[in-house]
Amino acid sequence: MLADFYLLDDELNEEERQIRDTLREFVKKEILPHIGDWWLQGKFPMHLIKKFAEMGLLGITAPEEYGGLNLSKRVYGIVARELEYADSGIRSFVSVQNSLVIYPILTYGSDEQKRRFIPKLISGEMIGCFGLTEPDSGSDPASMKTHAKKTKGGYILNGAKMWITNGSIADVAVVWAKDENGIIKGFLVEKGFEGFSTQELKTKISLRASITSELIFNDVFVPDENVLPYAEGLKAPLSCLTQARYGIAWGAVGCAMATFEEAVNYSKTRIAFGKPIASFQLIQEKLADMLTEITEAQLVAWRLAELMDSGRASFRHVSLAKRNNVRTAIEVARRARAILGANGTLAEYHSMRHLANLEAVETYEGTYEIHTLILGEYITGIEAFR
Amino acid sequence: MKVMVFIKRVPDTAAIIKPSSDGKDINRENVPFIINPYDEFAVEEAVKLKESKGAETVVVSIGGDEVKEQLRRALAMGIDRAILVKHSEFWKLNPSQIGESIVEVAKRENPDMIILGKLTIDDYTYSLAPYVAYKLNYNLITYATKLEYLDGKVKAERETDLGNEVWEAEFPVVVSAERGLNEPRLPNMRGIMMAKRKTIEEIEINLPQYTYSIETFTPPPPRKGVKILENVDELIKALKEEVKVL
Repeated sequence: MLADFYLLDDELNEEERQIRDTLREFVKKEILPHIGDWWLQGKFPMHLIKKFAEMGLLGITAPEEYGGLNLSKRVYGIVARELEYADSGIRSFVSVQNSLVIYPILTYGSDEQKRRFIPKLISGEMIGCFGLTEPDSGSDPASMKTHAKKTKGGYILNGAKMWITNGSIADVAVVWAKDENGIIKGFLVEKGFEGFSTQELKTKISLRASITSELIFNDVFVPDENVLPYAEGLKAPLSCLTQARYGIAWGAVGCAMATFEEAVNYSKTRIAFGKPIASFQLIQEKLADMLTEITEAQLVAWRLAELMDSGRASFRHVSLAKRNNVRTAIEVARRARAILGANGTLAEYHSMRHLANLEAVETYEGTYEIHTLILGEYITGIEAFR
Repeated sequence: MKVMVFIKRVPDTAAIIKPSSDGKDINRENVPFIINPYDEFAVEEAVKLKESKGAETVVVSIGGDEVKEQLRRALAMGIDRAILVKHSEFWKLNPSQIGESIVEVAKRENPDMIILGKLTIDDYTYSLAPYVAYKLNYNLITYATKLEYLDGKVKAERETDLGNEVWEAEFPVVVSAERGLNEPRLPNMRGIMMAKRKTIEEIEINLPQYTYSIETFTPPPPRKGVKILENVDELIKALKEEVKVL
């Protein structure tokens, strides 16, 4: 594969290689031929959920006792990369289920909650979503207004969550809200709870093949057994984001590879001034820069996988990778679009769609700027958030 | 019920094939390999039988360690275990020798049914199923497009130039798979991880020697460029003067 210039995939073991190859076949057969249309129609391919589950994509690192595969973070990274090769929205669905729903229930949930939700989330019978961001509270989640008031047998939840992937199709929402003492707690809000409603955002010009919604809580009673017992404070939701951001760092590599390959293929067949445009120095320079940047992003992702799998990664390592790799993917996609000329603006090609998606990916799960400040704080010891 | 399938490692149909330096074979370097597509129908059918009837399934192939890649895929699709007949240059074997390997393994395994592709895309001899059925004295159904399992026998549909036929054959039977028999599944991640725990038994078989071999291999000529004609008159002129068919 042209984009794996440093042969990093040679490090995969036989099973990991088979997983990668099978996913590539799956993406090529089930997603790539249709993704342009789904994106234009603003439609998430619901029929793929069952197939994702059959493939094992919904419980990659979860323990086997709940139906998971108990695989490494490296495999999770490869999955994110191969899915985002197709589309960031498709990868987002899988990221949310794994990192933002299954992970918090496994990490902060009771045994009863794990038994009740995890197997069904892994089998695709249940879809989950994660509610942290609010209409007026994005980069500063501590300012959230959604609150939970203790009542007999549970809590009364009020507020709203915004930009929630899978929100309108979720059977269970992991919702973060402040209790009466201002402490952030996690609540498992189920579809059908009285006072809980969702509103899909239909006018996005990014991640159009993904469902994004607002969650609205109007005096929603959440029973005590649906409160995550071991989550207290902002650290809990942020730890989930660390997992999801790790997947994004890998996914962005997939985007970059896809747009790079598209640009290479196009440049070799598109004729201008009597010869393929690949023979012009300005095109070759672009391609050389793209390959170099992709190689750097890959190295970051691979090393981060090692740190994650050996328990040495901090959220700061993840911040650097998310920040760098998404920006790289944007810059690679933008040059790919330019190489494709006017054709690059069509949905029949992939680069412009990736580029439009990546604008959201750069903002969600910690904006580029927030990750800059996380690194700034690490480097200087001075917090510049406020 | 015990079902045995045979698979062969063949070059990917999408691969660009070049001749080897001696001109008698293909250049096997840097070519991606797959399970022969017709054999993959056989694997899928066996896995379906395992799921629906609890059949015991075994996949057989011939070659060196490289063939384990294809055997693992069959195991990942759901086959119970694998047998590899060791041979360092299996691509040089002729169909009778490969047929003989299948016969020898079948004598050990005693399957009720052997399913294999109607042909392998690398040599196109269509000969394995008849050879194996004849040597083992099994019933034979070739080019099956649909299989249905009854007690102790199998009902098969096959398409011929004259029309469709429905056959019934008692076990033991050899069936060759035609396109349309099923849609082979992709292995899933669980299957891939489980395949790691399944065994690939390696065996040696003394193969009979034959005195025929491939003399030369020439890839098909490259396709000529496309010419777009403006109107019917030009087309007729081209057919008369250039292609000379009118």
